[in-house]
This record gives sequence, C-alpha cells and structure tokens, in this order.
Amino acid sequence: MLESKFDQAANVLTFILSGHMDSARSASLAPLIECELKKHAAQPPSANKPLKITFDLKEVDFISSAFIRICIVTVAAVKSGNLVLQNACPIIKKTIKISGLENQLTVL
Amino acid sequence: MDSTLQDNKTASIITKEQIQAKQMMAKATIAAGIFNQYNQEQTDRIVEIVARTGFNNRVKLAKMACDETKLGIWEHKVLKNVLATQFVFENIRNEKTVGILSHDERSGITEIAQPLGPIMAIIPMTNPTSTVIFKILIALKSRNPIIISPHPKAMRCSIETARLCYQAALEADAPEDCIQWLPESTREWTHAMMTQPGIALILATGGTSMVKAAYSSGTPAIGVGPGNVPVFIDQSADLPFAIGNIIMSKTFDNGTVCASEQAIVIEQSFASQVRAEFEKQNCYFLNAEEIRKVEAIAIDKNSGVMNSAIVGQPVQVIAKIAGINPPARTKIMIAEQKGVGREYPLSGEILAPILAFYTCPNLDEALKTCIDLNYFAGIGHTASIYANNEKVIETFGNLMNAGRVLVNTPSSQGAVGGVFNTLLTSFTLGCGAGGKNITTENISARHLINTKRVCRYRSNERWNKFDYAKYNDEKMAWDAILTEFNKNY
Repeated sequence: MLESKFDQAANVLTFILSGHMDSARSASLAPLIECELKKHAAQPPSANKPLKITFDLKEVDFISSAFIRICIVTVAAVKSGNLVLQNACPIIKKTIKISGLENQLTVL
Repeated sequence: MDSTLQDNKTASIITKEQIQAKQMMAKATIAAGIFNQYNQEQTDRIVEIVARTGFNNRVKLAKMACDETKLGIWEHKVLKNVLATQFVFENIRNEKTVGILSHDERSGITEIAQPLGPIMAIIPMTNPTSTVIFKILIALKSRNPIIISPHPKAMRCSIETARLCYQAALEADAPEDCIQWLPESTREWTHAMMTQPGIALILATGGTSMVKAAYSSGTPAIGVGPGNVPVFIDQSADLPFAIGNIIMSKTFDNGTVCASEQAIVIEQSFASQVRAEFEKQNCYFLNAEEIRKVEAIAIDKNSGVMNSAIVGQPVQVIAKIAGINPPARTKIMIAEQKGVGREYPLSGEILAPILAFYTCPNLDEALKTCIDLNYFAGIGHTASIYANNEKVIETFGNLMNAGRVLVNTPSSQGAVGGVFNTLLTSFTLGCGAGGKNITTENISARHLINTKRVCRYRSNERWNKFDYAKYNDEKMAWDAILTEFNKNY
C-alpha cells in the first residue's frame, strides 16, 4: 500500500505516493508513515546527517488537509527544511504556497 | 515659531505638519460638502475640461517629468499622459456617478451614488504626471476632493500637473479646494495626512514601504505594490510576435511600469530558438560574470530593495554603472537564473530593461517556476502568457494569483488597459487580497463611490404562504422544510 525506500548514504527516506490524497487515504497512510519514521529515527544517525524525508508526489493529483497534517507532523519529527515534496504538480505547489507551509518544507 | 506645539489637554506633541494637514483636511471636507450638491452634468463638465487640460499639456508635463526625475523616455511619458486623459476619459465619460445609478421596479431596488469623501493620492516617481491626472479625473468624476502627495523626486512636475488640473476645474465651476497638494514630500507630511480622520481613502501607488504605511494608517487604502510579472512563452506561441511584444513592453519608458515583464519562463526543448529570437531582436544574454556585476548594482542583497540609480534607465547607462559592455544596440539585458528568491536578486521586480530568464525541463516545471515568481514578489498583480494552446492558457490562468493574466499582449500597456484590450484604463491596478486590496480590478471612478441601495417592500409569496411556526418543530429537517416552503412555487 505504501512504497518506501531508504538511501542510507544520504540518510533520506522516500515515500512514493499515488492517487488522490483525500482524507480517507491520508488517514490510512498516516500510521504507516509514522511507523516508518519512528523506525528510522530510532536508528543511529548516519554520518552526522540528519534524517530527511521525501514524499514523491509524481502520481498524486490532489492533497487534502489530512495530507497537509501528515506533512506538519513529519516536519515536526525531522525539523524544518528536512521534508521535501518531490515531483509535485503545479496545483499542489500552489496549494502548499497558499497553505503557508513553504517555509517549512521544500516543494520540487 | 517652533515646529512643534504642545497640546495642553493631551500633553502630546503636535507637529507643524499635523496642524497644516488638519487645515487642508478642513478645506477638503468643505469641498466634499459642496461637491455633494453637484449634478451629473456639472460633474461631467468639470471632468471633461480637466481631461482636455491634461491632454493639451501632455508633452510639456512629460518633458518636465523626465527632466526632474531623470528617468524614463519623454515620448513614452507623453503616451502615459494620453492614456491618463484621452483613454481614461473615454472609460468614464458616460458612466453614471451622481444620483440614481439604477432602478429595478421588479426587485424594488434603487441604487444611489454617494461620494466617498476626501481622497489622498500617493504618486510614484515613475509616472509622476500621468498618475496625478488619472487620480484627479476619477476623483472628480465621483465628486470626491483629492489631496495629492507627490514623490520627493518628482515634486515640481506632479504639483504643476495638479495645479493645471485645479485651475481648469475651477474654470469649470468645481468647488474650491477640490484639488490640493502637499507642500512638501516628507515622511512627516505623508503620515500627518494619511492619519487625518477625514480622509476617506488612500490611493497609494508606490514602493513597498509607502504602500505599507498607507495600510498601517488606519484609513481605508487601495495600495499597489510591486509586480513581478512572469512571462510564460509556450511552445505554441508565435515566437517573433511574442518576443517583439515583450521588447516593446519592457523597454516602454525604460521599464518603469510596475506591470512590465520581469522574467521569461520557457521549456528547455525550444530554448535555443527563444534565445536566438531574442538575440535577433537585439537583446543580450549576460554571461555569468556580467550577471554578478548587474546583480551587485541592481538590488541591495540585504534589503532586497531595487537600486534607484538604475530605475528607468536605458541599458547603456545600467551597463556603465555595472562596468560591462553589451553591444551598443542592446535593448534589454537578459540574465539566466537558476532559482527564485532573495538569493537570486534578479528574480524580483526591476523597473529597468533587465529580464530574468528561466529554462525548465518541461511544462509542469515551467508553470511551477511561474508560481514561484508570482508568489515571491508580485502576488495579486499581473502575469503574462504567450500561447496558442487554449488548454495551456486556461491552466496558466488558474494557477497564477494575479489581477490580470494577459494573453499574447505586451504586459506594460496591457495591464494599464484600453490600448490592447478592453480592461479599464488605470494607473492603479488592484491586486486583490494577495496585494492587500479589496479588489483585483483596474481602479476607476466606480471604485470611489459608495453605492446605497434603497429597497422597497416586495411581497414574498413563498414566505406569505408558509407557516413559519414549522421552524420551531425540531422534527422537521432541511428537506421537509424546503419541500413545504417551495410548495406550488
């Protein structure tokens, strides 16, 4: 249900998401992401590099407030600047701008 | 006498500016009262005579503006004065602004115009005569007195414009003091006038700090701040036409219009064609070293503020200041950029013939760069697209936060309206909530009126037939009530 990969050298955990990130889907993904986060946070830091999280949104066409909440929780877990929303489509980029979260995470 | 006086009752310091501002305010308030009695015919006569006067002095005032401010091109300032007189007059001449605006017998609503009251007009250095004429015309058309606050570097030409307009207005029997101007342009004067309780509205056109001061004054304000116009050239665009338009617009008055193009955004796949076309039409792509030199003199890296020495200057002057040597025929200098934000000084607004240039891997990335530019320093203002693909135009229009999204149109002239489209001709471009405005429209006389609605009793058949005691029945939910309410309707 949730595809993830971990780049040990860079200490980057990437979640590959797809589809409509509506409330129901986000709610089901939240505990899985939280679980993965806890697992990696418990591991010793890799070469002094802080853990970075990437949400790959290449296949995502909509995000709900529940997904924004996941982003906020993730930013709180990994500190500001260490969450990247990758491959976001333009409308999702605009959504993040309007939500006022752009200073806390990076949209690529 | 000392410049400050002690107010014994409040023990607060009253400056000389506050005392004089209060006196001007009293005159403006009386003018507002007198103006309130004028009918549409009297009002229109005043507006026409002032518009004629502004028009007939267009060349003199344009030259004065260039001589005094040392920026821009006088012939282009003539055109700005033409827009502010001939085109604005055309927009407003037949507009009803006095008395009953409309009456609908069926709805029973009569709309009646009420002037706002004295207006304070802040004038930018970049359009110091056209903006004065424009604001005076829309204020007079709506029967509002106006107090002009000139830019310190354009005092003489702005005051001469206001004086000519006032003289003409008086000849047309306008109320005394319907047009006034601040005798000095200082922070103290501006603050003293902005905070007068009698000022109904501030029309603030100018730099960020001035617009912010207007918003902070506690007086309602329509402020126009910076624009950071992204120009997306789609693959479907007619390239020579698009680039010709961009050059014509960006070089207009040496780039002093806040709606002028700031950054070109294209897809990688046809970058070489775009570049070749710009070069063919005498634009020059700066190399990395030249970009660094231009960055250093264009923007203060710490404050992010534009260097006033380059505003409204031609390429050759800017190049000299930067210590670079572009070809003599260069119309615009273009700087390739890798990002948007404070760390990329040329990604913000520059009112001079300099363009940022972004090459993006695909359409989505190009649109995302336009969003970044739009939100970085020009939210609510203007965006521009060249395309012949309706889907792309629609997508771009949906994504931009801009009061005006101009399609296949030079943005300087296009945003001001009237010449290349049917937007209202205006030197005050509403920037919506993003720009802290109540509207995204081009501001005109209609925005300086409070519309009263006189509402007559009209029988509501459904209400009359409905037993409204049923609202008290908790068992009747939405559907049941609406079924009853709309029965036989």
